Amino acid sequence: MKGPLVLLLLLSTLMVRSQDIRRVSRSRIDFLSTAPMENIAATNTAATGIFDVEQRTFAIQVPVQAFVGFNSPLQREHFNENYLESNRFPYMVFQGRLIESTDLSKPGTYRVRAKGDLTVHGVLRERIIECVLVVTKDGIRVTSTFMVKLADHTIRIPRVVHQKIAEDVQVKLDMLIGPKSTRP
Amino acid sequence: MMRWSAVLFHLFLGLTSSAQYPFVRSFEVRAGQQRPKIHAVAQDAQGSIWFATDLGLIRSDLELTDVVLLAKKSSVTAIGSRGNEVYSAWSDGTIVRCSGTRCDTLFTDTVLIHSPVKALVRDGVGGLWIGTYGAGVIHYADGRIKRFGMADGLNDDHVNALCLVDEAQVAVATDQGVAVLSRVGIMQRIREQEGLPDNLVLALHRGEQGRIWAGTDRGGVFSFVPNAARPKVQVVDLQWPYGPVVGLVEDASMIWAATVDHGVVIYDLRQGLASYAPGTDRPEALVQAMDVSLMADASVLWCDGTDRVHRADPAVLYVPQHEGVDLRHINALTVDHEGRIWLATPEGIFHHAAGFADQLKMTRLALEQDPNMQVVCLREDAEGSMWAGTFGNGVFRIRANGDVTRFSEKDGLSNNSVLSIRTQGQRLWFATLAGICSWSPQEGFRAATIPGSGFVYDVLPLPDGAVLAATDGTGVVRVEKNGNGRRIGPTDVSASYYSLCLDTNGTAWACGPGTGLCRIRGDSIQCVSTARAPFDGNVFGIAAVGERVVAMGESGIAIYDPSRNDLFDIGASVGSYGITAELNTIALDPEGDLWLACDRGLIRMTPGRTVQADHVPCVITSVVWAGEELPLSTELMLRHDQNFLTFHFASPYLSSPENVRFQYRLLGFDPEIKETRDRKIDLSRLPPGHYRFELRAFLAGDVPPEEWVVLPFTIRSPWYRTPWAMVGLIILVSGLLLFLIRSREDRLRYRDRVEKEKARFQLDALRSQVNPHFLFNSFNTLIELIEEDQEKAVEHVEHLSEFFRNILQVRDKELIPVREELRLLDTYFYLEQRRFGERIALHTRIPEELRERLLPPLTLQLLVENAIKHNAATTSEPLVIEVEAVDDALEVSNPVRLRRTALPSTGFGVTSIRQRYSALTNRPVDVSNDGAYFRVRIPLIDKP
Repeated sequence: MKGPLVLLLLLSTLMVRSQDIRRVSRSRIDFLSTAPMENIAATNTAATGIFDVEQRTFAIQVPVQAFVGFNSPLQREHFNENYLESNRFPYMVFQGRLIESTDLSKPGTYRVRAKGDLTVHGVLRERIIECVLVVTKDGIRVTSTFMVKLADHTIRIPRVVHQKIAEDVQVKLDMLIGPKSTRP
Repeated sequence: MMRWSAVLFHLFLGLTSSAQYPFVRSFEVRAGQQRPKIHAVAQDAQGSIWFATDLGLIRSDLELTDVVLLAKKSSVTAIGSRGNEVYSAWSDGTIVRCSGTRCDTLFTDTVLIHSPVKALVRDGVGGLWIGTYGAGVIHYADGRIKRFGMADGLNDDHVNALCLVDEAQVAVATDQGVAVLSRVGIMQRIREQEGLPDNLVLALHRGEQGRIWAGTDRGGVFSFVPNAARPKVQVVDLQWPYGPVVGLVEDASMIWAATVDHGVVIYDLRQGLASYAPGTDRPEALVQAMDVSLMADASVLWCDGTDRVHRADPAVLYVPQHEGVDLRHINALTVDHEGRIWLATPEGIFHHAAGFADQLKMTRLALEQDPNMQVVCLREDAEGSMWAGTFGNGVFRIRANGDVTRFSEKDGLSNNSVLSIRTQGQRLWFATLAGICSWSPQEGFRAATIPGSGFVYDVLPLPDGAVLAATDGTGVVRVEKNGNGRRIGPTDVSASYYSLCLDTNGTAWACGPGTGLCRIRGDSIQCVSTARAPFDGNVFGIAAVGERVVAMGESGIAIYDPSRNDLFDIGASVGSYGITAELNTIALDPEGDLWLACDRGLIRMTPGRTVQADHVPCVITSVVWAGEELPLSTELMLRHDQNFLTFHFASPYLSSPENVRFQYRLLGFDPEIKETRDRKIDLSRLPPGHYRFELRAFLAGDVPPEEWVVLPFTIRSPWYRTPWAMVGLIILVSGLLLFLIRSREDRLRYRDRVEKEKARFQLDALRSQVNPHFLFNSFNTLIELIEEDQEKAVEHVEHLSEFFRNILQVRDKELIPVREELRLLDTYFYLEQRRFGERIALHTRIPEELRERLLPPLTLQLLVENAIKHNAATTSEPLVIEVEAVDDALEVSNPVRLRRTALPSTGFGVTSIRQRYSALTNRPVDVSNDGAYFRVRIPLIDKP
């Protein structure tokens, strides 16, 4: 699949160029669909990613099948099979760069914009997503809330379940990017 | 430079249009069965619209679509045009230039794969500027590539947009502010510290007076003057509520901004900060506009990443609601002398500045009346008071100071339901449900009498002092100054009129359901155009704009030009079908803009701009022969076999492409005018000649224009039918004839000479053979033999007779084989030997292979005879004559021992042989006499 390949590629190129590459050590991604008839929520803690502090570039990869929660096992099955087609498109990927040239070596709270390509359901969309970075000695904590329009990613909702699935899904992201690695 | 194989599909019905959203027309672009995703839009000088899509490069006039270049594994990420050239950037790193459907690759760079091209701009000095996301700006000119990046001082390598600053400079929008760039380098950098509202600049546009407009992620729209010493950044709205701006254009002080969250947002700069958003009653339909472009016809076209493009006409803007007031239910509308707009909705009466500027608040007048009271008409009087006519509650006068006075039937008003109010100087006229009446400050109310039921929809004071009344059932009534009314036109039919207006010529116009547009002249009423929109349906109101009349109806909005008798339906261009409105909610403001109220909201129309578009342009886009596009730059000269031609044409008439019709004719072939809806014509089997292909476009139902678009071309005659070929042929034939005659003459002359020679030779030969000496000698020999040996005598006579027979046999022949000649020679020599005995000898040494070669008859015999004749022969010294082969010739030689009593020479001999030979071959007859030997070398001739 394209996702991991891109990740590897990015990783390898970054490895050569830069020194301060960090990994996502802990992550939690929630999605919430608020529809008139039903609210659906699911959580994913299996996301991986890397962040190049000097270049301010990043890549995050989320395995679709690792979403848990939902209101029923059947719903989860539908989510994987009918809507996101996780066997065809197993990963969601967001890769890009931070716009603001914030010095992330100093502890503090920073509000930055991440501009990049969001690939969901195999469809790439350019997005600018605001997020909050909290830099501590334990690493960088990234939190963000943004909307994903299902139509943008050609995820079609059958008319019968229109009342149960929102057209815009809210995504909440909370990640910890590990501290600077002390490589030998 | 690689030549692209231009993939050209002509897809009819590739575009379907719909007018689901009022005043925005949407077109679906189809490439066969596939739905392209349109990323960007550009327009070439011919008016064709080019789409950068994931399926490739698509060209269209919004009716017919061509896939000019089909994408294999790539998509078009950016597009730019200048003149007729369209530049496109492909995701495989290729930059392609197209002129019409002829495309070639400018260059391919793998850098452009990893750093996708976001924008392409061609400047006026031959440079192509390519903005990439990650590799800065690339400048390409004359095959040379120069890169401008952060190392060169550019704000950032991540470029989002480009636009021209002047003919040689571009503005660059990056993730870290904007920059101005020329071929020399970075001219200017503007970032947040220099006053930008946001560093993340996503869109650029060069506006009027060289001002550059830019759209940002969260700072809205700003503008700046490039290259100014101190960049004066002007932010349009510090509280920009519409989210990221990804594209924008400025047109006539309006900013059209493509936003991610709210579709296309329109800002009116003249009125400070005003916003109109076309189609905001269905915002989701227009969300995430990706690119917005200004077209040649001043319309604005945008795409949203789907297969749809949307077109709006800046001449028609509308507001569905404003500051919480629903403008879709306006019952009355008027404009006062200050240009303020007054409108009445069920919520009350409001007035507002013409531009709907945000600073000026809408004023709700407190009439403190019955909540069910409906204001149905508004009019300002000469004193500046506003009059509001109600349905059932009389009229209200609202003075500028806010005092409100009510007038009703008690005060002399004809009826408490007032449908229309007009002014005549200080006098006001009221159209009510029970006739008309007037009011003046001096006289108060004064009634007028009109025939019929008295239901009057509209009144119109005329310049001559009379008043027209549009009635229900009794047509238009003219009320003279004395207050008496009479009906205009036929009085025996029932006719209703809703609306009246007066143009600047003083002509009154009337319109009602099913009447068409009627001109009132004195006592006559003439109506036009009942069949066409909007007169084919319900008409809500008419208004005069200068000498023209605008009519609004259910089936659209149309402008009638009486001087040209031309009805121009702008409803088709703006998609105003199906609107409904209250009667006479139409007003003209002092700036010439027309305001119309309908169920979609309040419409502002600039008729001057719209009517400019009533000329339907058309262009001949290409002429194709055998799948090959012919260059149209010069007059077409075609070969005789290039007579199967397909003419492709288009009409960049974006207002209503589906209504465009074409007429064409081919002068020089068939002067008859033919009409078509197609956008191509096949002409086949054209004979050689000069032609003029003429084309014109018009709207269905309209009269075609006088002018034609002309394409002259010539099909040349085949080469063998050109005059030069004819001349050449004549020269060739006459030359050939001349040659034949000459050669025949030569041959005849030659034959003549040969014949003559032969005849003389025969004569000479005969003469020589019957030489008396020879005969005398022969007879003497014979006599001797008869005495000695009768048998030998007989033999001698036999030889003699054979000799003469042989001579007779060969004398007619030109050539005989050596063998025969030798036989003849033998016979002759036998006879001579009878006479000379041992004194003469003949040695012939001729190889067998030469014996079949040819020579003139009697040649050897003559030479041998000569040798015997001229030389002495004795027993002691016999005369030995040798005939032998030397190379390719025969040599006759004998020792020279001239006789003292030589026989008289006949002058024949060698001379005659030479003459004969000269007629037969170039090879010479060699005669040599070294004193000891006499040699004659005669060449042998090959069999012909």
